[in-house]
Amino acid sequence: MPKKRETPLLELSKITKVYGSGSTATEVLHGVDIRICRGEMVAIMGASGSGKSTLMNILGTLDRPTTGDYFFAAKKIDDYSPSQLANLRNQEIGFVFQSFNLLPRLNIAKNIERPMLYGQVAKTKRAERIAAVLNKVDLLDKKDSYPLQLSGGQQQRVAIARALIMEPALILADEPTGALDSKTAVMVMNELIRVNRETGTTIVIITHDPSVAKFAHRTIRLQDGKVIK
Amino acid sequence: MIWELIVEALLTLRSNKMRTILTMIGIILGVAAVIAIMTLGRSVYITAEEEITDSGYGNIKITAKSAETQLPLNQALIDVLKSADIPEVVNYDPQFNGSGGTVYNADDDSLEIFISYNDVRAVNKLIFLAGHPFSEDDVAEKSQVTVISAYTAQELFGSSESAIGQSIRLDSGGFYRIVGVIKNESMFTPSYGRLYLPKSLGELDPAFQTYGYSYIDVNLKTGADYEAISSKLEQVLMEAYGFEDEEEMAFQVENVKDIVAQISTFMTIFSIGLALVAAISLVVGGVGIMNIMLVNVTERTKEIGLMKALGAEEKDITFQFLVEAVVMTICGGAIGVLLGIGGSFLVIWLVNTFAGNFGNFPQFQFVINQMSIVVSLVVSTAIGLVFGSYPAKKAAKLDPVEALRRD
Repeated sequence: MPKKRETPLLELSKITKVYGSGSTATEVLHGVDIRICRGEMVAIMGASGSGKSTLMNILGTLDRPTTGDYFFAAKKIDDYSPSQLANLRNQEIGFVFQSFNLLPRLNIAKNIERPMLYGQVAKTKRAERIAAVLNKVDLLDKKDSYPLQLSGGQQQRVAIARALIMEPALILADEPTGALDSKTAVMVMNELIRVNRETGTTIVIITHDPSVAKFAHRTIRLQDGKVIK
Repeated sequence: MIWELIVEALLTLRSNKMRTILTMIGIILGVAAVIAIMTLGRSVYITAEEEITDSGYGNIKITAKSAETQLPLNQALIDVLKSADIPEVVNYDPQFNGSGGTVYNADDDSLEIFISYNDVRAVNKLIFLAGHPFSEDDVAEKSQVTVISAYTAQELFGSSESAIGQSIRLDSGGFYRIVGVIKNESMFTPSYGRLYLPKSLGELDPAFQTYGYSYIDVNLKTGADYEAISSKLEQVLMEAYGFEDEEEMAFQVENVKDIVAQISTFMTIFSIGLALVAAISLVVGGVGIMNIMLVNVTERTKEIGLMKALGAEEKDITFQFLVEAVVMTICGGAIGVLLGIGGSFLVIWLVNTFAGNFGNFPQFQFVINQMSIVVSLVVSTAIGLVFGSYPAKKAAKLDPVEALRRD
């Protein structure tokens, strides 16, 4: 659907990020411009120190840029309050982390349910939605298991299911295969491709690994806080 | 959402059982102490109130203010009262408690004792080791019979059994035949020489002849107005003896309500004082909760970061940690309430079961002070809220980027 791809979901304009102040101030991002359209699967690649973690935090609205504008679904979100940003993350952004970040004391269903608690999804609808996303990642039978009973690959697929539960516009995956062996890594990447294809969810993968980046439609390279061609 | 958070808080606390229990101990003990003090205080008060209202005490009691007044509580005084002809008064019942003295056996061995003059009802309450109480006839006929304490029997006759039927002589004169031996009345003063004589013999006691009665019970018709009659009696006495004001008044007219009110005030102050001391342990418990919640927040920093990434607002996070703190303090409070009630019940049961062995104890009633339960639970909740709010706020304010980076 080439038409749909034209609509920018994320638009970053002249983003800078400075840590510290005065003489100790360090500029990590020096005017980053990025446009990512709906339905795209994009890799943001860079070595450590390139500013990709900072960029990911800004994309995920966990951090604010020092200057520049961030448009999410054509809305300027720079002036959003902390609660507005929390709601945006809840509704529109699904996170997938390198270390899975599942809560070990909760079972799989409860872990996936979490975002629906914050999103005030009616209790009656939750079980059905949990089943649907678990089905999507082929782990419906693990619903009552606990995270530590699953393999790394399975845990990451649960994390993907959790990222999908609110039907977000964007999935932000930070080194999603970093803690996995290469065979499992391929499986997880294929899962993300499938999600992208079947649901049209925009996926942004932050990685330093070219073999991961090649799964994406295109790659944005970051070096020393700047986007390079 | 609130129920889910409570269930989750319980799960979290369960996954850290040891820590949770240790943290709750302060609250548990604090609440248990407060509850026990309030419950025991209430039980003692209710028991005392009943003992006073429906026992040997008259409805109104007239006593001499001090021994130096030179105005004995005697028959003349009773006659003065009677002449006032107060319709609500059933009768004036003078009481003479007794006096000190020396008692001798046939071999002239002596013992210092306290002589107490009693009616049959009072003597029947005593615990007899040998013999029996004196009878109504003995009282009516002023028989020279006596009941003595085990200690007295031991000292003068070697044993309780051998004392029965023997005669003793009092320094004030007269021989008395021993009809019964009772258990020593107090565990605290085992060297207790005591002699019980029929009430009617009191008038022969030299102490009585000097000082008169110990007090006069004024028995009233049911439903009579204590306060009004008390002041009427006071009035009568003041006029009869020419006292100008309260200062000069040589007698004291107390009614049961006064006494109960005094006990009530005392018990209340006493209970509140002790409860305040116990409440300090609640504050200490609260600080313990705050401490462990801060540890919790630090340990779960990464989880808090995750919660923020998943869309939790600050209020959601504050709420979750507050719920955890409050669940902990309410559980502690509830356990404390059960422990306090159970403990008081045990104490009262032990006293009721075993104190009788040491003397003439009333049976204490077990009264649950419901107000104290409500207050304890409210206070527990408040402690959770107060001491949990700083850690919860701290959690809510964490920077998600920093928090997620933590391991």
